[in-house]
Amino acid sequence: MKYKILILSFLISASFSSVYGQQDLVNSFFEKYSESEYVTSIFISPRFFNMFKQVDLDLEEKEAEAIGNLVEDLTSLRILIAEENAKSMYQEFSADFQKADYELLMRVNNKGEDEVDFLIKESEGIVKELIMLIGGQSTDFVLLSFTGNIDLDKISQLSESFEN
Amino acid sequence: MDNWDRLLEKYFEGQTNLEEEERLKVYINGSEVSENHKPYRMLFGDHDWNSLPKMDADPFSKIDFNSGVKRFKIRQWTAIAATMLLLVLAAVFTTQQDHSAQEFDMAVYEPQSEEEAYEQTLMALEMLSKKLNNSTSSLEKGIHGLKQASEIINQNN
Repeated sequence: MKYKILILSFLISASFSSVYGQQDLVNSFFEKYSESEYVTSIFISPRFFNMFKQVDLDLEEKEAEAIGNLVEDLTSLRILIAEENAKSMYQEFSADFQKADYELLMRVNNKGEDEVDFLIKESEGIVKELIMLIGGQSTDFVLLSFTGNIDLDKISQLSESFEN
Repeated sequence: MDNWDRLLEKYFEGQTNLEEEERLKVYINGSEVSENHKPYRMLFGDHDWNSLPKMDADPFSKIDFNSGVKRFKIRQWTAIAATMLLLVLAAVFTTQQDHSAQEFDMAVYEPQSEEEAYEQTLMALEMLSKKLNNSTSSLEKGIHGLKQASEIINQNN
């Protein structure tokens, strides 16, 4: 009886520490690298996304509509770009993301020049976070993290409006 | 017989002198004692106090404290509940601290103006959508290549 209680309490505390004690992987990356000279880091907070929704932005109509649709669903954006160490940073992030409950949606290796990963974090069938990860020998390291209710179709439609 | 009875009576009344008591002792412990006087040997025997049964060193050892089991269990559960509550509170407290710390840190990276923020968001979205489409098209190419390869293999078979 006593052992059962002990084990139970261990399990409960362990699950607590894994759910709550785990620091956000992207944030910990920010903390670790943003001091470096070769790193650019940007955080667009929910505050800004609220402003975007309220203000009329002068864009071409079609583009504005597509972007507006997408932005409405977003809550925050984190950007981290590193001009050096692209490969090692890519490898470091790749090694850790599975522990942080991210799923690999797609990984594309472009003729050995760079690798692009798309990672998602789902909750009840809705993509809550989308991460794009670029790393390789000849490119910068790019980490984009979008949070909100993300519709992948909307994002791929968006590229058409940028090309026009 | 009567004589001894009377003497015993006198003894119990505390009226005997030392000499009489000594006589009683000799009689009762002796072999000529009558059957109904034998129980008095206990009184007049030479007591060896050390041979008496010893008292338990721990007088509580024979008390069954578990006779109140129910109460004990309740106390046990309250102890567990209190521990759990403490754990939960500690967890909640530490995470709240973490969150505030993170938010503060992240605020450093916020752009100065709304325009800047919007431009950066657009840039990120553009990059994302282009890469996503490039990646899907190169995946499609890859799948196309696989199909061709499998067709060739099938033809050869």
